[in-house]
Amino acid sequence: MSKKKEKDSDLKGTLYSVGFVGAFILISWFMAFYLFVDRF
Amino acid sequence: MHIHKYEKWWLTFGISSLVLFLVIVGFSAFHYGSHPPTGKIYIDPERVDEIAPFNNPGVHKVEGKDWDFEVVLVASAFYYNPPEIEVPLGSTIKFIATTKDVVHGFQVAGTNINMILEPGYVSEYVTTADKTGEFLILCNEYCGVGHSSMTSMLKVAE
Repeated sequence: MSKKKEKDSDLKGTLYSVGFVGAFILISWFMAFYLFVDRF
Repeated sequence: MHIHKYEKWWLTFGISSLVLFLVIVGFSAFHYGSHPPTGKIYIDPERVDEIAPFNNPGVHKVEGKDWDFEVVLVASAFYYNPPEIEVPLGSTIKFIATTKDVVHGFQVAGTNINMILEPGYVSEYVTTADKTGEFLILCNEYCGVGHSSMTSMLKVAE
């Protein structure tokens, strides 16, 4: 019984692109929310 | 189940952002009572001019309420009555509006005031004018040939 552990694939690039999209969503959400809060 | 370390990171990031957004929106809705303009009051659109408060459109100072002024607005093709609204800085205003004919919009540019006015319904919105200036009021629901010239002005002065 030889259950070889599968080697982790390199997801560094994916992490950066997901992080970039996430940061963009977060920042634009807060910008829109600030606009809403700031106006009467 | 094997999940990659980075996948765990972005799943955590994504889910916690969603939770954060919902908490902020929920807090402002349920704690601060921020909600869209109400349209739950009914009125006979044929007799708007005879029914209070729409028989007397304008800016009215009120006492003993949560707001200082009541702005009673009647929209019709293609103008607003009153054509101009003037309120002092820092006053809390309740907009009470309806339309006599077709669907109109009531948007005060540069503010969060944005209501749809439907025949037969009364739209209300309460806000505190905390910035001075002249704010253009415009119709943002296409109502006919004069739609583009259907404007009014909200003046907030010290």
